[in-house]
Amino acid sequence: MNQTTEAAPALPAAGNVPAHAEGRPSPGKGKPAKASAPRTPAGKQGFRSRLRRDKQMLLMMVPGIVFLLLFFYIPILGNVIAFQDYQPYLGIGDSLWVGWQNFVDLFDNPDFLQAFWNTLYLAAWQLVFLFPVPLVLALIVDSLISVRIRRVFQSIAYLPHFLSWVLVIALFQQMLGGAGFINNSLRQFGLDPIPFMTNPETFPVLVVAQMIWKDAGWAMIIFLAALASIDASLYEAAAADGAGRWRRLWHITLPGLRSVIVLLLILRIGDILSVGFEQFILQRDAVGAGAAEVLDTFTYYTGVVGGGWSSGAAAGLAKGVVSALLIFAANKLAHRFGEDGIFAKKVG
Amino acid sequence: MSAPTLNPGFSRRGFLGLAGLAVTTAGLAACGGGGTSGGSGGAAASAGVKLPTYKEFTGVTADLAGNSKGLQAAFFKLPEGVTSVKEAPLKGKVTGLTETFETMSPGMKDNPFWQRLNAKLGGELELQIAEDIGDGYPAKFATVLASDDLPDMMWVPPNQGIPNVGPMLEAKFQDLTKYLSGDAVLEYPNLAALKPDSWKTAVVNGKIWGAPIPSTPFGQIMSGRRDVWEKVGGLNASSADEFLDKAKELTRPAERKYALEPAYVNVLHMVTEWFGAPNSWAVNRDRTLTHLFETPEYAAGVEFTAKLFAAGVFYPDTNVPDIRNRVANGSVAGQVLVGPHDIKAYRAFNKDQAFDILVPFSADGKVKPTYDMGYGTVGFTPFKKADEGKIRELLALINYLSAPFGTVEYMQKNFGEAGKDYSLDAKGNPQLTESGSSNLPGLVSALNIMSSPENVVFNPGFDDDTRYVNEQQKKLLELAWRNPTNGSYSDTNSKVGAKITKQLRDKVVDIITGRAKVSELDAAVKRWKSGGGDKIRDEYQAALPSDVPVFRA
Repeated sequence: MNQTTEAAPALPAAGNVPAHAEGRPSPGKGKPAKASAPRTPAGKQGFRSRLRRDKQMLLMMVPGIVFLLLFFYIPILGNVIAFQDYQPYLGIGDSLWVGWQNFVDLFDNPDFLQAFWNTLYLAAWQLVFLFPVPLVLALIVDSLISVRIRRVFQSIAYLPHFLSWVLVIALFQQMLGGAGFINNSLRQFGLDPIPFMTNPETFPVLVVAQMIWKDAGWAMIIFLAALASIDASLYEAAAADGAGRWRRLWHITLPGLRSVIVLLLILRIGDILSVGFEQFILQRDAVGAGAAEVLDTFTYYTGVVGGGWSSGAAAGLAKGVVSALLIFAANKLAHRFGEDGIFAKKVG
Repeated sequence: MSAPTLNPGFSRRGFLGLAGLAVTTAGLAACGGGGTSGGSGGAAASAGVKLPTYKEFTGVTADLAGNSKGLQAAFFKLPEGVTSVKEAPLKGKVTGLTETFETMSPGMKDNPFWQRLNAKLGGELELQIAEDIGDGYPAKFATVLASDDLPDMMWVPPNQGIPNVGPMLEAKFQDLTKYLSGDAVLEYPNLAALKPDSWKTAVVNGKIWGAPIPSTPFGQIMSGRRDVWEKVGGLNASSADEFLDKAKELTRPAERKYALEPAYVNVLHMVTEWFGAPNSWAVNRDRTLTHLFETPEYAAGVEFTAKLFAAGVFYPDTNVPDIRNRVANGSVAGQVLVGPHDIKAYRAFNKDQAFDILVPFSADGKVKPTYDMGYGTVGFTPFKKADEGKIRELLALINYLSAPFGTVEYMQKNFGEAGKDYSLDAKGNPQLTESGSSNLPGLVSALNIMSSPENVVFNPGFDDDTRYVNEQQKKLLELAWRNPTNGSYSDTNSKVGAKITKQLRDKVVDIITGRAKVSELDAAVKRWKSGGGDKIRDEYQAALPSDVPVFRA
């Protein structure tokens, strides 16, 4: 599927490569060429011969496509309940049609607006403070010379990813909670305890800290892979020309990672309204709904727990639409910076 | 439940930690499945429904007799088992949805206790058991309902905020009126032994939907370890401020000791009783209703609970997984429990200490305190629509599972088989064997939340506890009020009650923990009223039975 649809823009793009690459000496070197090289002959063959050639590939994709259809595309139709007064014992067929009423109620509901604001606020924190951490970690790991230390560090950094949120929050509570290690120690020295876990104002810091602890090591792996793909001769040449450590970082490493960074950033922005679920539902009581209610917990409480399936679905749909818009916007921005983004720009 | 020691039925952590929060703020306003005993709307039809004939179980005699005001019968010793069911109830396989408040038992395949119970039932009782985690049951219930692949029986809890109970029952479940109303119930003697007050909670829209599941008629109480409280003069006080002083004295963070469990809404419920607040609704002289939230007593209670929080007497983290153990070992002094009988659960952790029950006292020495009785049941278990043969099979099954204390069937359901699942100690009291301890608790809890006889107080080996609970129950009954809307049905409540109560509760917890100001309560109550509270009042007011007493006439 991908091959047939993407083949068309790939042709002229292939012709552009050399000139393009000359214009920007270091960044993205080799990448466009790599992507387009196998496509070039494809465009010259007919549909049938391509079908014959890619038969096995297409067959292998079938389970994936069926999975997507069954668990993603067909359930999308269920969103119709956002426009109904849906009752599970009546079913979609017999529930009352109410048009946009659920959305009107939703935007009149201060709790929803609060959840929306919390989500954006927490997402901004994550974007600014969480996104760069794996990159920095990857650079540190990459600069370690001893392979052994490197492996140990890498494992320690990414293992917490496999712990569940319940465990992570229990661990944080054991350390930082009101009766946790640090506060009990403070009391022993006659100092006042610090409400790390129960202060709604510092909640975003706590959330980001927990996420860094849990997931930064895992996210580092992609950057490490990208680092490995940078041509080592570039560093050698730069070093021979007298470029220092920081110059090499600035002029070789970061430009080499640029397309990966942009890709991850777009994916992250598209996903930005999904700030998390368990992490917030588990800490909602400690800091209150005012700080910890996000769109996903709001949807859960109104929809599943409160029986307002329709308003829950409406909230979910609103979130989906905003997310899609964000992805398009981020992709546009990526094109402006001269990157491919996630959908290739139409050329010519 | 007040049944056997080793089977606390549903624990406080379970039923109160989550569901009970709804009970405390909203009282049973959050109850969707309440029955109806006369009035308007869906209730109009129910004026005519004839409750099942009551025929007391006389097979055994209690050591301390109960009474009709609510005092529970109590037993010191296990009576000699009497048979109450003549033939095995099942012919084939039946399925059910229920919840457990204990650690999940092994599945049927690996659970000899379950297999032995099936053999006695004469078929296969297959249960989907939701665990009491997070929003456990209501979420599970909602998804099963939405899937449209219903099991034969589904437990409907009255106060976990299951929405739209009336229309849901009509659409999916069997009307059991003709099988149970009046003398028809006598065919199922164990169901006939359930009291009329219990049956009222199984009537919706003038129809009987299942056998009620009696629990204690008492409501929440505060309890704590006797020797811990004796250091500060005992678990009692002559004013709210004295209680605060005692709590402060018991809080010693340097020694990791705290006065109260961080279940703020439960503690608030206790505090409002000291201020003399009504049980969910107050009936005024002109027979209008005023909700608890609208009363100055409630506001005073919120303010005082915020004071408790500010004084640092609550355990400092919101998640405390092993709270019972902490109370039993004395590191947390006080906890709110589902009812007086529930103090026996501490004995599993600490056999050497006695535990006290706080009788509500006057907050300022002038106002008369109140004590809120509970709903009396944990709802009912309706059956999926089916033919008469299947329905009769299910009724026979519930009849078996509702066998009263002192019967052979009760022992089979709660303790299993002698010698295999349990053995009798020197005093003749049942003790679970090793295999019993791993196979029983989770499943027994799940069975008891969907079917139960009238409860009794029974703490084998702890006769003093049994006597003490009986004494305290008598004192509590002197202050007792019942929710005047029990047994009435409000459409609006079942539709939005859970939602607006949650909104208010979130705000109240914000106020107690200092995240919001006390003055914000007014706006929250206004929002509750306009969001449906006023409509709920009108519906309950129209349905109010004439025999419900005026609150403080």
